[in-house]
Amino acid sequence: MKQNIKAIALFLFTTSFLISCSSDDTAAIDENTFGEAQLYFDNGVNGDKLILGASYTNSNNERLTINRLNYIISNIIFIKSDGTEYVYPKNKSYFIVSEESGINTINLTDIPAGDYKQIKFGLGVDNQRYLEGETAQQEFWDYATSLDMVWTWSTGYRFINFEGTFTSDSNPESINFQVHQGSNSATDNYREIMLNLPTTARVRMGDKPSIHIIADANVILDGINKIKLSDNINQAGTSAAIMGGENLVKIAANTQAMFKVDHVHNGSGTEH
Amino acid sequence: MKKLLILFLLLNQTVNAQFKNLLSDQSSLTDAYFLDDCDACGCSASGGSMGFNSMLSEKFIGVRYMYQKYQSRDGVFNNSPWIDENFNTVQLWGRIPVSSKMDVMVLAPYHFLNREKMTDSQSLSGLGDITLLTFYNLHQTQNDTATFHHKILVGGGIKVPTGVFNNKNNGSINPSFQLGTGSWDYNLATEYIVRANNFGLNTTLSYVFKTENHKNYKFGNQFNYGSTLFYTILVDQLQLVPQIGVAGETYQANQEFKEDVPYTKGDIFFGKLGIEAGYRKFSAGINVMLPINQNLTGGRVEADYRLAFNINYIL
Repeated sequence: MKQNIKAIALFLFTTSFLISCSSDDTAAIDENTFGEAQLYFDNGVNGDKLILGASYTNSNNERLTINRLNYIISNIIFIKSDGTEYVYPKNKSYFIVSEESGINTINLTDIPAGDYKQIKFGLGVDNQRYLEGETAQQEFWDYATSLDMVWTWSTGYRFINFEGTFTSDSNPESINFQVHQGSNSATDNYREIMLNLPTTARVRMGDKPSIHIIADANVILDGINKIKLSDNINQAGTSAAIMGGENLVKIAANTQAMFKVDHVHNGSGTEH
Repeated sequence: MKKLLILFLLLNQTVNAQFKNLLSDQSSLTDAYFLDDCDACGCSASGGSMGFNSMLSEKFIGVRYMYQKYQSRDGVFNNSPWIDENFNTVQLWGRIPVSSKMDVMVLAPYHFLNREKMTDSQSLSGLGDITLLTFYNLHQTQNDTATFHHKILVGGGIKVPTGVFNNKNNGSINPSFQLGTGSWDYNLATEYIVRANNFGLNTTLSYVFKTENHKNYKFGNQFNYGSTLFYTILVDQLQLVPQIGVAGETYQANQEFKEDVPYTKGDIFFGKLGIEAGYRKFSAGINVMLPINQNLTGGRVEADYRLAFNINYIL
């Protein structure tokens, strides 16, 4: 009897050391090492997964069938909790997300090891880069061309290419719509977007955090600014196009709220 | 003094135990502990209130089979598909009294988990986390003629990370699709049983302290509670014990690198029904738990039901 009690006491006592040994302090970060990171853009529409070809009704009472959602992500910056930034090299920092082409991930390499709490990126191409001229960015220009993300060199990049068909009170028969966001001589519609990460993205040598971002396509027209496609139907009544003017400024404001980070997946895996 | 020492050790240890005690008659079938090894391993969404009905004696060895069905949303959107997750567990368990007031238990589960995703199906099988438990009988009504018989137990123990934890399984969907937590976890538990005539009421509370594993992932601490009303019918040497009760679990958020992981805390409340039968050296039980109310992992996991069978041999 006494033996048993002693044995149990010994067992419990021993296990208490196991508890104390199991904690492991976060090692200091060696800032001279580099890791990778991934931005994963999960395209949705108003809380649902974006399915090209499927219809939904927005709060403008227009029923959209989205057939294309492409956008340019650029100038990625990683920000630590103390505010210090790591600016991804500008000449490597232009990417396209394309739902129809299944391009949803941006893989970034050689990022200084660190604990990053925010990310910042541009939606579109900044004027500084654009003004460097075509030859300075020929490779990306050609890539953007292949994904329908340019007009001509003189009119520049499409920052967002959002297309499909829609019906509304004024057009019960479905007609095409095209929303092409971009800058023009009148307005610079490139915008920076800052996102907080719900948990730290831990960039380490050998570790590759995946930042799972939800992009809400609905917000482009149905955000803080409401833009009706039916107000943009051509005279023949055959399609609606938004490619310039005040609407692009409104879209630029809407897209400030188009993205949010759902979660960050740390470690070496590539789960989303 | 001895009592105090033990109590101190148990409390000091942030001990571990999921258990139930439904029967403790003077008949061959006495105390029955219902343990759940399931906190967060293969089911952080399931936890410790399973309260599977099985009748055990002071010394026994048995096999318990548990089935848990979940649905988990494969994606981050409202219209992301729900996929079925099936958690099967076969568990060897045994209990050895070390004194008139103290028992030590061992629980060794083997899990078979599977889920069908849109793109592929995943399955995991293997040894789960082994649990060692100690219970101490703090108080028991000694007067046989009393109308109400009370019994109070306190317990605790440790869960050893013998099950594999693989953080690649931690995607957007159910983070508990794991064989083990990968961590040393500790429980504290109390149990109160009151009986009058053939009726009994068993109430348990337990708290599970989970620690960070080698992948810097920590499953959320877990509070379990449950209460079961049971009735004992004797037919010759056969003893039947139908029972009805409620049970619940509350989970704190999981943590990764000491930061809360979004959509991991939650709670669930079950109703349960079961019956047990005991005959000579054998006992058997069946038990089902149905959720009444739940909010697991931000609504991204839903428990459908749990089912358990057990067969025990009384040593």
